[in-house]
Amino acid sequence: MSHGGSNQRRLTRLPKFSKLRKSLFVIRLLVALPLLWLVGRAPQPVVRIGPPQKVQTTNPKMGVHTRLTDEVEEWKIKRTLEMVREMGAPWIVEYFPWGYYEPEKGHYDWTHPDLVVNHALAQGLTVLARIDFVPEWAQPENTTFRYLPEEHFADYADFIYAFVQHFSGRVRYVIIWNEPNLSFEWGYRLPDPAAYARLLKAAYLRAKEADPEVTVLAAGLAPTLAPPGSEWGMDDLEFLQRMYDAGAQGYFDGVAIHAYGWAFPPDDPPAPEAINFARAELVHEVMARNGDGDLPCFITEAGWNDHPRWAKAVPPGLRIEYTVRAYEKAQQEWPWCQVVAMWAFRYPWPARTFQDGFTFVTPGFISKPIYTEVQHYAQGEQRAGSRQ
Amino acid sequence: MGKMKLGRQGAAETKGALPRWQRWFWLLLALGCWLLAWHLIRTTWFYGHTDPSWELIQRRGVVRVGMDATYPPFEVQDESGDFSGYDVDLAQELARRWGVRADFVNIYFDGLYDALLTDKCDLLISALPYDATLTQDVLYSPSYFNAGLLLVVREDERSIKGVNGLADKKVGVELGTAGHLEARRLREQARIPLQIVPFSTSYEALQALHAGEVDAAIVDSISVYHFARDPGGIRYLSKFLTDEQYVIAMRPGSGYLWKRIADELARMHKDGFLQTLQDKWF
Repeated sequence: MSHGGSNQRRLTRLPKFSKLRKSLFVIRLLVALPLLWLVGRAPQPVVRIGPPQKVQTTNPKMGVHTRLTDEVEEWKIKRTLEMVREMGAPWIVEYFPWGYYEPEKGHYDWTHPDLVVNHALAQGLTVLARIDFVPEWAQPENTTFRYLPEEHFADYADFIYAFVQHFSGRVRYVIIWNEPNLSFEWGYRLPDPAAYARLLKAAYLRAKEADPEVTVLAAGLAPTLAPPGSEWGMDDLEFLQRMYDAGAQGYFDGVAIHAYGWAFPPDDPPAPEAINFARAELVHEVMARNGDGDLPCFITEAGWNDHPRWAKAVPPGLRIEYTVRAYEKAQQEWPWCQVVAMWAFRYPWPARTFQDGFTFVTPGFISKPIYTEVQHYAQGEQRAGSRQ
Repeated sequence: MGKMKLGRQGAAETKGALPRWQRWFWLLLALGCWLLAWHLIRTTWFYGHTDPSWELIQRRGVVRVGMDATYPPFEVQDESGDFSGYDVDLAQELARRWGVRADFVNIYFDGLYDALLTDKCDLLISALPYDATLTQDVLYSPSYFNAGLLLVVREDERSIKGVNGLADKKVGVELGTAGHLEARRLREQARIPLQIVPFSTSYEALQALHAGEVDAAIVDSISVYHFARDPGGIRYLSKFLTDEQYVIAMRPGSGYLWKRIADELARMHKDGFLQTLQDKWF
């Protein structure tokens, strides 16, 4: 046998065999890589929307402001909304930043808001959607994301149209902007009721084009006693009156109200020079003076704070008492008020400031005593403070 | 010596040496790199001389300090409009050392960062926790105060010298706070078999400690300092369990101003000024 000859044949065969081996290796790699990627990923919990639920409550006007805009994980969105339902609050106010969902003009990303809205509906909750936050493409240079120039009012109105159309039948209430009577919320410009009235009109008309049944709410105004001409803001009662003077009437179906109690009880009487929960009555009076007394009001931010060092806070026990009384007051004494939504149910992460004193549930889903007591109230049970 | 051969032009070229055009190429490239490095050094190291924030402060003779003055003992504004607090004293001392005056601008917390970025103020000193998500939007100074969690025991306690000493002990916390979560972490992850006793407030947790109802408490430093001053009867372990650093914020591009603040804070730590503030306000 000639070894040289067989070697020759081996040598001749080797290149083809090597090619085949290489091909097999590449194929195995192509198969293995996705598997490795799958194995390397942290397992994600499987989250199902679940069967539709109903809120059991003795007070259908109870609400909370959730803060799910920056909540990435679906299971946390669902758990937050479950806990809202379990507490007995049928309403939520949620923030839908325009700039998040229309990153480029005409291109929308509804993935996250769909999650929030679908889970909310599954929990039997009604959603009030606050919409503001200027996208970069509509923001002049060196301004903040609350600076909406008039030449982009139409773009905002277009987004309202797209939002209302997309969520037609699912979200029935939209709030146009937020606290425009504060210069901070108006891009650190002087508050301009006439300009806000124009924005509201543009948004209202487009919202009705998308869905005539949607309820459009004028923005909740920040309760403030800013003196005339203040660079920081305008008194909310004055701002609302000037909106009417500028022709805003007829371009909203209701008014959002912000009614923080600070250190005062909910029954502290209203007065133009006082910031308290009952200031909401003064807002309604402005509406009534202008012929809109029959329009509904929605308190979309309210509440008390129990941080140990904040100057406007109250002790935790008082916070519970005031919160429950505020819900009761709206139900028993304010027929014009459809909901009282307390700020804020839970944050996705701790604020690490006094603002943590507003929450009912921690980011880690630990329910605070206020949650438990409000739940007892919603179920018609006696609260711990009043139990023998 | 390499073999010589004549190139196209007849010029002598050494075999193995780079052709002329390549030499020029590398020389120009090196020069370009040096120029770029010089430009970068000039714009970063020497930027301070053109830091607009610092120059404005010096020109005006005033540093405008933004704060939400509703957070004693750090900052509060009384009815006559006067500001007082730890942060107020800190700002005034900084201004004094710079030879300028400090003016305070009271801004609701939500609007603080926007106020800084729209030039309503030069600095934010407002018990501001360091926020890693905002480091692209603002510049943060080094920390001047730690509001993190402390492990607290009674003054006469000798057996608990650290977290390991909490085994089989009752630990008071404020329900739902960072202290509560830290206690749970010690129990579940560090496997220290402690018993967590939640209270509605950190003050109640410290009161329970003082009364002997619990063996230790995990509470934020500010609450601890207050309680240790009055009514007292407690002490805290010097090592923080967690950090919550309060910092000063300024606009991006304020490199020189940042350096001046960092230098002064370092001096204040060293010369005891910050300790004086703590003794005064807690």
